[in-house]
Amino acid sequence: MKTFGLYIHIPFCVKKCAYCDFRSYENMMEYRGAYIDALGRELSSYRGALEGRSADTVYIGGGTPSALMPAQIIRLGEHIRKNVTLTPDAEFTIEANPDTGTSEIFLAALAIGANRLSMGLQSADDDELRTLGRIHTAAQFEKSFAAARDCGFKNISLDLMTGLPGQSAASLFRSVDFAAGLNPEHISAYGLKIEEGTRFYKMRRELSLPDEDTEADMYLALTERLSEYGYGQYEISNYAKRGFHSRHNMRYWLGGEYLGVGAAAHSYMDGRRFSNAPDIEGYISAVNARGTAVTESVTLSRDDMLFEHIMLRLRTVRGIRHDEFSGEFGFDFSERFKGEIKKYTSSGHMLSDAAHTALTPKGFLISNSVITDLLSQI
Amino acid sequence: MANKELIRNFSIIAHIDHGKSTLADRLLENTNTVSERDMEEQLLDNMDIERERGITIKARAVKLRYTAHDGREYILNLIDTPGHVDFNYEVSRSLAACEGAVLVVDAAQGIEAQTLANTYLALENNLEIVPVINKIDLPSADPERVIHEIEDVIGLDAHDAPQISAKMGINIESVLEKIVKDVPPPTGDEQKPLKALIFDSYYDLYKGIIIYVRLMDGSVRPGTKIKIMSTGAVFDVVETGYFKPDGFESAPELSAGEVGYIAASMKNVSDTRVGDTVTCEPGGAAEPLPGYKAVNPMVFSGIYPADTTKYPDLRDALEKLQLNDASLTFEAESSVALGFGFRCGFLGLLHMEIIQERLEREYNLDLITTAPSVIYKVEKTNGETVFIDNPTNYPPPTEIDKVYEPVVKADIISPSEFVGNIMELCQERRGTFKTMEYIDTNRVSLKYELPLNEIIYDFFDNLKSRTRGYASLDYEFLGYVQSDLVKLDILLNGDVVDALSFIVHTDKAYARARRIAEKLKDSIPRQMFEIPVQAAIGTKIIARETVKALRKDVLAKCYGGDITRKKKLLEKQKEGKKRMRRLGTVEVPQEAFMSVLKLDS
Repeated sequence: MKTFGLYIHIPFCVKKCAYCDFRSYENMMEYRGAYIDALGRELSSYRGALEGRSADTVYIGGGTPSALMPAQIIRLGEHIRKNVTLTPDAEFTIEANPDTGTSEIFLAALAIGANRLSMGLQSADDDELRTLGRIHTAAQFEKSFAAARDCGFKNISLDLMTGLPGQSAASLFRSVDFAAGLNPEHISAYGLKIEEGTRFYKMRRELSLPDEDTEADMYLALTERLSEYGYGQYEISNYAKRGFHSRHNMRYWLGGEYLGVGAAAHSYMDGRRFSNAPDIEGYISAVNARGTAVTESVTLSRDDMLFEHIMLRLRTVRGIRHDEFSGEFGFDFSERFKGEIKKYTSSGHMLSDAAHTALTPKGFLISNSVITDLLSQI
Repeated sequence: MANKELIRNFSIIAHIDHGKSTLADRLLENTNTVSERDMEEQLLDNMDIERERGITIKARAVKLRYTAHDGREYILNLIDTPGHVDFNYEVSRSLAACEGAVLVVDAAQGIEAQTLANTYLALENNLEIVPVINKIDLPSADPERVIHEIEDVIGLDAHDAPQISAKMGINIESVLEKIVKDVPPPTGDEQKPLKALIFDSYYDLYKGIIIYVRLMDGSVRPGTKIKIMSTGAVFDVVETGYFKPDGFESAPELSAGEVGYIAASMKNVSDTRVGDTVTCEPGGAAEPLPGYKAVNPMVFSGIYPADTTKYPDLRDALEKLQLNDASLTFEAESSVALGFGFRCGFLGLLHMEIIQERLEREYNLDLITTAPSVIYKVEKTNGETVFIDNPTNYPPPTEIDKVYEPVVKADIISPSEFVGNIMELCQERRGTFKTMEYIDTNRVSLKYELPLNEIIYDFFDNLKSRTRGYASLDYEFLGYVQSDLVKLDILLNGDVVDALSFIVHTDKAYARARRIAEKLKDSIPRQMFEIPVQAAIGTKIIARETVKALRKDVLAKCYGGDITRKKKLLEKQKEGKKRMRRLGTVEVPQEAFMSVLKLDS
């Protein structure tokens, strides 16, 4: 049976963080009930299309899924179970923030089959957390994390952030030590990017951000440190204990199929990328009117697929497998990019052997330049 | 046939900002040439650049009908002219088509450098000058003082000069009356063979080249066979007519004394030249009109298409622009760094900026311009003398015996309180003080001899900022003076970038080299490898900066939903990369070439 990944977007937040440019909204809590109903309707409209497929990963992301009420989580679980076949060993992730991540929420999530939890820590420094606009402290996080363990989550991931205003190598290391001290199975560490439309963007001139070299040094040190703690890097921003990488996220980077439901959710099925109406009200009214809320759709050309293959696989430590590449595109990767491979391997940005080509941590740091350089050759 | 007695051909001349374009607007309104509804500011300045900068670049002609107090209807041909020193050439062309000039002087500021320069041009052309005192509405206006100034400094009788406010529309009629009364009607003989001066031209997509003419003798109508006297090329006239503010108004005939246009299906840019004489064929005039004093460009720079495949488009654009601006010169050249382009000659730095802007806007081109240069005279050790307008061709130090650079006579007029600042500036720019004269109790005229290459960078901006905008500058070429100059080369990653070389006085080489290296360091993006930026005289490195290696260029988060957006981001980055110039292993953005032009800003 064909498998796919299911993504469910929960666009509600108690408070929007200063750096966040994701589709999430504060002060929209009263829409939660109608939104869960709409998710059910949207899922049922895909039943036909999902005939003969089962989901081996589920990811409930946001926004803040833990901002739902326990009963709403249960109802969402019902919608999933009614419309989607899950494989017996499916990875089922739900995101939570410490302020709303209570035992009640965790128990509800476990009850609907969630077996992996992704929690936003971002930093263990309360000043940095305040700057980010987070509404929790490190101590609150610790409590929420302990509750998740007590409730029964055996696979937990933490999010950290680097390149924060005022962050030093020392404070980053304190956050890393704090995170590793909790002994989660997985850690993501994202470099802060100031995106247009965020509060940080408005105040970008006043933010004292670490410079390019400091940030690069911090990234390399972080990767090293996490590896010492037993978290191996498997993607630009992702680290895991052996066997605990995120299967759902790997699907994105390996070009696997996924169906996204909810406001602003994106999908990739049958060679087509499509996405839903981005705002909550627009999404709900679209689903109520016609069952789905797809507003944009594009069928990938061969060139698109080649572009994406290079762009996405080079994000992973696994890299580009030469046999897979030639099987899919009909030409030899290492032959075509001989000059670039030579340039980047000799500068320490890339590793390449007969079977595969991948970026090193130093190479990940400049992956945009490497990827655009490769793509300019075709 | 028009009655010559009732025609007046005139220009308006003024220092920049003295209200020339506003007065032109008011004349159009007062003669009902434009209805109030269609009136807008700076009506004749119909180029976007002119409106944005509030200046006139191109001369323009328009025909006004005015019923004077004597009850007769006159035809007034107004030829609007630019005020900036760089466009003197435009002014002198317009003046040759006129019998009179309205000299506008600001009632508060009085006579300025361009007031004088334009007045002398008008006198050279034997024009009747009608002084007008403008801006009498200003609280600081002092018309009496200005009248005295005009009488003392220029020697014109100005006691009955109209005192007006073009802005407020005060006393506009008195200007029209003055024009009718004081400007002589054109002379000329309709019976003689056609003789017309081309004072401008313009390329029309449908009609071909349209020439703007002032008829001295004879007449012309559709069907007339005309000959361009310098080339001997013959054409059949298709259309003749007059100028309206917003275009053309065809007319059955133009005759001696009149100003108008001729369209004759001329397609080839080289067929006509501004300053040429048009006559009829056969039986044409024997001698051409004197034409114009040829102008020599003083500032040169290389202009290259950002996209190398656009070279033919650039050539085409330059040819068409030259029709409209005969003071522009260009010839093909090539650069290792920039590929094929043109070495262009300009009258000054503003002229250069304007040409660039017009090329980009009117012809939709993306350009890279090299640092401006003047013409240096080099006597080589082998006895040969060469003129160098491109630093790339500068001989190696060992082959040079003596170098000469062009020097100008600069006239700076300013309130006396700024004299110290101005003298400091001129000294920094290697100027030689000549004289200082008081125009009145609080204004002085300073005369300096200055090397032209010190003026072409940012002298004017500096002068303005050190005198709170009050000083004005005029200059004319004086001659060549021996000087101690060197060629400064810029090296990126060890290789000389020819397009960035320039010639500089030895005393200034170090400071300039440091500034350029810093500027380049800031405008070249970090790349995979560390890039040394060096400045050298011959083989001696005198400044060094380093563009550090790229350390971080990454999208931290890339999940399902983001893929399309992130892909677009990388696609954009890939496009940006394409637009960079690859010099050896270094990629240089267009801005880097530009930044070197603006060293002190």
